[in-house]
Amino acid sequence: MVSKDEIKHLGWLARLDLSEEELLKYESQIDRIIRHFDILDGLTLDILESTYLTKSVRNLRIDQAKDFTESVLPKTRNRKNGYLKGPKSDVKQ
Amino acid sequence: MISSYYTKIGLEIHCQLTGLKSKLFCSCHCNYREYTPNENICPTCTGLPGTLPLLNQKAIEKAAMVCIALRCTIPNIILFYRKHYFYLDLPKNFQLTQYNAHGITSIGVDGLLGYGQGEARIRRVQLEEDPGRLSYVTGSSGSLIDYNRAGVPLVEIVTEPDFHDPKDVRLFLNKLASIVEHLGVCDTRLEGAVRCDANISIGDSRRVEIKNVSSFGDVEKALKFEMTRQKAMLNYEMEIRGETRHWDEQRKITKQSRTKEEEQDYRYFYEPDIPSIQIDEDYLKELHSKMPELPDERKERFINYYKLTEHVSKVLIEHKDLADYFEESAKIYFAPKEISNIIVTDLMSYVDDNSKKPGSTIRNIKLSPKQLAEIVRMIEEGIVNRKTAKQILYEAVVSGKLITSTENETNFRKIDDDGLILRSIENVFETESLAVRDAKKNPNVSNYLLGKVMELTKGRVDPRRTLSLINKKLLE
Amino acid sequence: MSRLCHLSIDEVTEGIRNQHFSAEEYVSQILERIAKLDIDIKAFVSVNTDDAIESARRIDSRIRKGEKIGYLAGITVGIKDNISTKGLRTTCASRILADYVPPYDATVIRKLKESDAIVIGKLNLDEFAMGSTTEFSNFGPTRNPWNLDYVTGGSSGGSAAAVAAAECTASLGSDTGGSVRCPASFCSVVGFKPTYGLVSRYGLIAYSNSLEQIGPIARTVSGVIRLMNVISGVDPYDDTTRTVASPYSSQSAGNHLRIALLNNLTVNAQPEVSKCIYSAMDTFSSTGCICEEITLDSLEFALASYYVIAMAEASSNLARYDNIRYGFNLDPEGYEWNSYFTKVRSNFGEEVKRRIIVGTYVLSSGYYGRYYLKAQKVRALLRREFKSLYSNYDVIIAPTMPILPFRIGEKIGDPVKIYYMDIDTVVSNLTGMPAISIPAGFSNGLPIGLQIMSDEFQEQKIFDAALLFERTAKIQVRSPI
Repeated sequence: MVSKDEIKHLGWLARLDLSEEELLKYESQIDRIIRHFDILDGLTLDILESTYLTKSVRNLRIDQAKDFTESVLPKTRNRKNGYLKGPKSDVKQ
Repeated sequence: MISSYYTKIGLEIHCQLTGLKSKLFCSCHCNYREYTPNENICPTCTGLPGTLPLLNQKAIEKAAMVCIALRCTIPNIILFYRKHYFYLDLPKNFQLTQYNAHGITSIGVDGLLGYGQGEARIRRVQLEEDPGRLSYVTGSSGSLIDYNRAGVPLVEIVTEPDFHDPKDVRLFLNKLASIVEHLGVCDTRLEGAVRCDANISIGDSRRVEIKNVSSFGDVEKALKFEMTRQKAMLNYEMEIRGETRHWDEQRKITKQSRTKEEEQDYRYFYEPDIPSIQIDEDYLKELHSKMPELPDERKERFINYYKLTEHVSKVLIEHKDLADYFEESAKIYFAPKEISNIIVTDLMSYVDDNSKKPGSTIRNIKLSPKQLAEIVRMIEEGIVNRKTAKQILYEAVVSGKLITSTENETNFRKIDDDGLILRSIENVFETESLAVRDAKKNPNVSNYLLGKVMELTKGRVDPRRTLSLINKKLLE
Repeated sequence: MSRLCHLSIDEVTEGIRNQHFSAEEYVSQILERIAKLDIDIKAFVSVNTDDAIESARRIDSRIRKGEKIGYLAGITVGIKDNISTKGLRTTCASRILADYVPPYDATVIRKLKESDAIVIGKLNLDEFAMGSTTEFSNFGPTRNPWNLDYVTGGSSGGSAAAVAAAECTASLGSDTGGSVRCPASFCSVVGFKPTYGLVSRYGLIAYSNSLEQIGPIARTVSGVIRLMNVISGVDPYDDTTRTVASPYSSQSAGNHLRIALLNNLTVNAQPEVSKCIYSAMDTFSSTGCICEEITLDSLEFALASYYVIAMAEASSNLARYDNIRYGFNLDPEGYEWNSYFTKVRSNFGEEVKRRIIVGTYVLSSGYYGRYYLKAQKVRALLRREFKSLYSNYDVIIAPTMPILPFRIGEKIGDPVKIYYMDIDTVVSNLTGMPAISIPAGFSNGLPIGLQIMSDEFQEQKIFDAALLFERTAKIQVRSPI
């Protein structure tokens, strides 16, 4: 049973501030969804995890520097001397 | 009174792969230091929607070389994982890293590194990306973010808690620094290139983690401080809390972490955009044959081939560019003992003076290996005596110019008169007031002042006499 | 005056190339039609009017000068609004990206432009591609051109509706659990999900990386083939793309295919749907194909596996939306960073939040082995079983959707009901194998789609079967609107 507290904690882990209303609504819905997943419990599989995609180290990107010539972040967005402005962090550097 | 407590110290070291041209997952420049904020970025390293990581082939190569040097086992298949946490310097709010909880998939495990009087086991080596940089302007109600460093490749080296003394940690780190320099993997003297976290537990007490030590030199200091702190607490029968502490670089102390380091659930899972990477046996064999000469091998060669002493060889291999300087000079004029002695006794002091500037090395001295070889040749062929040679040396170190022997004879009328020497010293003291102030605290800086006097007098004063006069004047 | 709007890709490129009509004339008619119809259909999030006319004029000018023009010259392609288009706002139908203008083109967009196709506009979707009805869009639902009170399916609802209503020649959608095939089925057009790794995902705003592919939607199978010939191929910007042999042909025979019908999926379908699929099987038999029914027990684990993996990856992919580098207008000055992040992220819609929470749950340390790891093993199991099936059959058929299209608002209160709509389509995403949905018939004027699947990289077999069905069954695809 996925409780309201657990959902609130999950919300925090995902930085989603859930209102009381949302918590109530999600409580039943999310538990139902997770219970549908329980069908997987009945399975015992000896297969290794599916990572069938594989690449040789020899085929990876060659180490070369290239400038990205377009403007990546809009020049007008929250800037100060080139830095991006952000909210307060906890730690003084 | 607690005298001997069994101390266990483990290390977690991060080295940037400064030897690469591009970042770990994109083609932005790996050396971000010269750029104005947010000029060395692209959609991938800033985590723009729809972008995909492109793993850098050379990063695997360099990390694998580190593993070989540390005698780690390298698995045939490696994977990357996402480590989730939110923070302002993390563009995707997860870090791409490696993880071994579901099978051995990081670049290396189970290694060993000897460091003279001991050895430490290496638990694992892994590749991961550096986050961006956060600044905080005092008084403002916000932070400033620069993504130039985001995505720069790091190799993380984790040891078992096999150290028992901070001195051993220093020896180990010096060895490691030399290895990564010789491999061309990391220039440890670049600002921000290395970071070290340490964990320490005394006796049965809980483990304390020390974070934020940004130079290898400070690690020993931090550990010494922490050990003193903990032993004092134990003496007073106070319990040591298992916690994370931060190293305050300015005040040289460890302090309690201000942020609540709550138990983090990083929700690791394997990065779906990066296939599993196959490292075949042939590739590893090729890598073994491509390995550059490691410091230990080089030291042996210096002893056997150049017939240098163990001590001198050890000093030379401590930094790759020092050893390179020596060999370059010896190749031009084969007098290895003389050359190495001059480097170790005379030139090293010049390097130390300037070591306050980050990244300073013997290359920053204006005397070239060729010039050094020339000076030694003049000594050995009897063209100049040793004393004059030293004068020429100082002159050249300061000015980069080598005054030849013929000029020597005509221009080198020595100034023996103390009065005249003092006049020159006074001149220099007037123009170099900052250095004078420093010299009063740090004796090494007198050499700098000496150099200025030599410059002023075109090397005609006797260096030893002048230096003692300078030191006398400083005491006034 | 929209006589040109219903032309297929082949007819448009041929007509422009041979100067039966100009690209500008064609594009103008398309734009007119959008202006007239889209107030009701609401397929478009934004229309690229000026650029489109500009591009059309350039094509015409090159034709007049006798210069070479691209393979898709003049065709108008609508782009699902989760595919990055440089300089064109890309919102994912979310408030969180309300002002986001990408500084780069997705690889598929670059390829379309290189072949002289024209990006006509961005198309509506369920927010961040999470949904099966397009009702979760921040802009409101798109309406089904066959009956405006009914859903289009999703998440690429706008992409399918626009093509069905001839508001564009073709479109691109994305398919994570059926999001191209579902709306294609509900809107009676052709929608294709390629083998995983065949089409670059660079520029596709990620929902679930290991499951999704960009897929083309057109009114004919041959149109889809032409698009695949342009957008597929290894991309150095996407390390999950793999080598394959193109191009695909619209000419091969397709008779004497060995076809299996997956009856697990017809058994759970509405009777009208089931009847239509069996009738399709008869159509194939009549052309000389060998048809059999099969059952695959492990299919019962597919839906749970799909949602565990999709939601887990979604919770991770959406972590980056903190409005620091891009998003919408909210000054961070004065906020403490956690408060800022949570305030920003409250702008996600309800369904997206739900999936993020469930995804976070299944990845948390206590549950990882029980759900996520288990789901990945189910994938491996299904791949193994399908691969062995494909040693006996060329293609496998099934319904695309277990139900007929329904009224807007009918299922929105119950998320689990909506998840069950994916039951026929998720298996192809889990196995990474290709699948197409083609029009198979109607029930009370509501479209039914036939799904044809094959082994990975065996796209040509699907196309052969689809072309065969198309020319034999001759389902009418011109929408009443």
